[in-house]
Amino acid sequence: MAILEDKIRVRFAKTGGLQYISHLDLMRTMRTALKRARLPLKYTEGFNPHMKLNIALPLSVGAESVCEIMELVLTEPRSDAEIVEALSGSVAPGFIIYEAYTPVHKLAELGWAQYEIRSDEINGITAGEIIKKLKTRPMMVLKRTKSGEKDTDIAPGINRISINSTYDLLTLVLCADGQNYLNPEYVLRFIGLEDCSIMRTKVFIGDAVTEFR
Amino acid sequence: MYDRKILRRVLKPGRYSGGEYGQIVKNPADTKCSFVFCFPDTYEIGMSNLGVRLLYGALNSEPDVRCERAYAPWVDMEAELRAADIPLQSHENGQPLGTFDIVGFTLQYELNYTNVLNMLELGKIPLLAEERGEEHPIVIGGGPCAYNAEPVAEFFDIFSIGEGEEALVELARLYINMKESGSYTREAFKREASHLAGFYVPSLYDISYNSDGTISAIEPKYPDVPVRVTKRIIADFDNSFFPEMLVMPYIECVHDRIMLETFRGCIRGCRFCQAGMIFRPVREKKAETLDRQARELYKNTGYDEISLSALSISDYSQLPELTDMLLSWTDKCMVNLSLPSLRIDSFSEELMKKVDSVRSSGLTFAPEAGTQRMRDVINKNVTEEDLLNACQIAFRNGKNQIKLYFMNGLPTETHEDIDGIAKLADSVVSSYYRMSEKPRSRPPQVTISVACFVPKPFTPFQWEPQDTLENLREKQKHLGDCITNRKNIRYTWHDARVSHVEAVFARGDRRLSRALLEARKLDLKFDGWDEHFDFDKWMKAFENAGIDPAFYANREFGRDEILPWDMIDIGVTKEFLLRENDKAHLAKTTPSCREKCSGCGANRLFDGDDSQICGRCCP
Repeated sequence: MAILEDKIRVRFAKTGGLQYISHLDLMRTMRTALKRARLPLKYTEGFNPHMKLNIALPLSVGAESVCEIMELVLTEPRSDAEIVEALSGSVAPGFIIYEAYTPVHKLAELGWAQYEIRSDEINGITAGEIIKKLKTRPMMVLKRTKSGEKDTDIAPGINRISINSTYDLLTLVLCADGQNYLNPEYVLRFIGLEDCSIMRTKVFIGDAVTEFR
Repeated sequence: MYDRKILRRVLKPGRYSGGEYGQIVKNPADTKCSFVFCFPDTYEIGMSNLGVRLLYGALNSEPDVRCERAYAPWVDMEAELRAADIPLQSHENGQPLGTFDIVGFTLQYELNYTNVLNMLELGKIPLLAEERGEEHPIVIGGGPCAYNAEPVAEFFDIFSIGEGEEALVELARLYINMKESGSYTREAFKREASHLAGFYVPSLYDISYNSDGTISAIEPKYPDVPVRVTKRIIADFDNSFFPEMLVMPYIECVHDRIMLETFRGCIRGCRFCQAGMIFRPVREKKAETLDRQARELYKNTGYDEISLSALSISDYSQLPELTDMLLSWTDKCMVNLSLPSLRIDSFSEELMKKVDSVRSSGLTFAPEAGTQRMRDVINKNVTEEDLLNACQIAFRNGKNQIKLYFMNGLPTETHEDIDGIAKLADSVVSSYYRMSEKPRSRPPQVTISVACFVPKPFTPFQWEPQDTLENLREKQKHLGDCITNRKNIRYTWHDARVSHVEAVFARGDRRLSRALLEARKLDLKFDGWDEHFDFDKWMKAFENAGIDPAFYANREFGRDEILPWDMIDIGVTKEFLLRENDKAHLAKTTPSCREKCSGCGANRLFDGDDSQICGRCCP
């Protein structure tokens, strides 16, 4: 197992009222929380030093997550338990700090993310239709890119899906690497599901099976 | 909390979702007085306001008082609330505004008044105070505009005049006592509040008018109601309440940092400046106190910037000591220290280097007027030489961007004074090129930012008319024509029509409430925002209300005229303001309080002492 020295990863939840804050808002929030936690954080050198902090994946406003991953660099060693305790005491209710651990995989190895979608519109009646729609090839949507909007086939970005219509639950495993990140909202728009709750529950490496650590 | 479906449809839902770190959420069952602090502008602007953060902490430090927050919803959220008929609610407990005991508004800017009315409406509270019943909250206003609150007097039950840290707590205590003793009714409460120092209850005064429209009398209705309400000050400012915790916004705000209030009041006496007068007498906090408060706040918030706040930070008597104390730990903790704009004539290289933020490549100065004569009229005691020296220091230290603030439409202004603004900018640019050694090869970028003069109550210029809209715009255009060097000089100016409406309300009286009701009917709001300000609708509102806006904005008020704000005593006397007005018209300057006391009268507030000798004003 590769060990990335002096980097620490922290897995936390962003749920409830916190789903309304953006990725950038989250970065700023964590910076002040880390300072309040009095963790010995490393700063970059040079003209405009800033905290060495990275939050792995963007999350849309309106989506929740129980597997947000934040990577930090400390200048002095702290045990995983110390980090969780210090940070837990410095964040608003709504953030749950689950664990701090030494990274196994490089950030670039992050490949796929699992989302749990819940909606009244996912049930015994609609399940068949939903699965049929998700088998459409190619699956064309208007995707917003840096250079504007483009008609894109998002099918390659879907690894697997499953429906549990008893629990009105649709599970999607979608591409989450830097280049081809697929926002679950595109898939939901394609299926025609309007008001769903979206919860990111797991992240995997490239094989879409091994948990990203 | 608002419904998820709605929050997912609006811009920046974080403005409404609450849950911030540092917020104080109390169980309604545990408190006897509930207060909601309403900021009549967006969340981002409200969260940056120091006064609100201070009062939130002061009220919540009373165990049986609960203070929550509400902000003006943006237009998209307002549409959702109206469509679903959902009342505006507070952040902490999601409680509808109309069910609080006391609803408080901070009146920062006249162009927020329409937002006040809109928030009352969205909170399901009757707009007019006289229409409220026992089931409705007491609506109270405070802040800078409360010194002349007459335009909104019909919408408020009580005004808090002056510093609110102690006053509002006293009001809450009065509320609780009256409720517990069974003597509480709205009218009884308001009557009792009028007996507390610093509270103005507008419904207890009769205003009568002359045939020419000016005020003939302001009379209390009963003998126990004070003829004049004296503003509250915290005499021992060094020991005054200061919060140890701040609510940390999630959304990016205008100012998101620790603000240390170093002193209140100002020694300079610039004649256009309302803040300098209404916050007198000058009271400082000790450097040790400020350093201690900064450390405590940093520990509890984790902010990476501390800003020293004051009307004129250069005049804080312990500035070198304070900056040294702070710098001894802020660098290590990766915290930036920033200062607001420094006075041109006390701009020191040493100070600039100390707090130099490497990221900023520019400095801001406020000469305010283009000629020495004009600067003398407004008592802004800086010379062209002072400005060029300050700019030289900036250039030598690698700052090539200079921003200069000016006003046009000042009393006694001529075109020569406008030309002077352009000439001053040219002098700054040529002084750069005359420098023997230039540290960088980048050309200087001088930005002239020109606002329109608005006469404000409690200033020596309170009697002066605002220049007409036509003149203001003509002068703005003329200045543009005078600026020939567009490579090095940028020129920005404020919409004179906005300043015109501001001037109407700044010196307005109670009859303007009709115009505000008409403005509400025309759905005017967020008037301080370019995309929402609608001048034509405002003129329609004034017309529908039978109001001539020029009567308030463009008329010269008589020296013996009863002014709408005469029932308020801010310490500084009208005699002093008249003396200053006379000197202005002779272009004679007045020295700063530290050089020579001018007997403004603010010292009377310390112990009701009428003597003209200002002993405790300046340290």
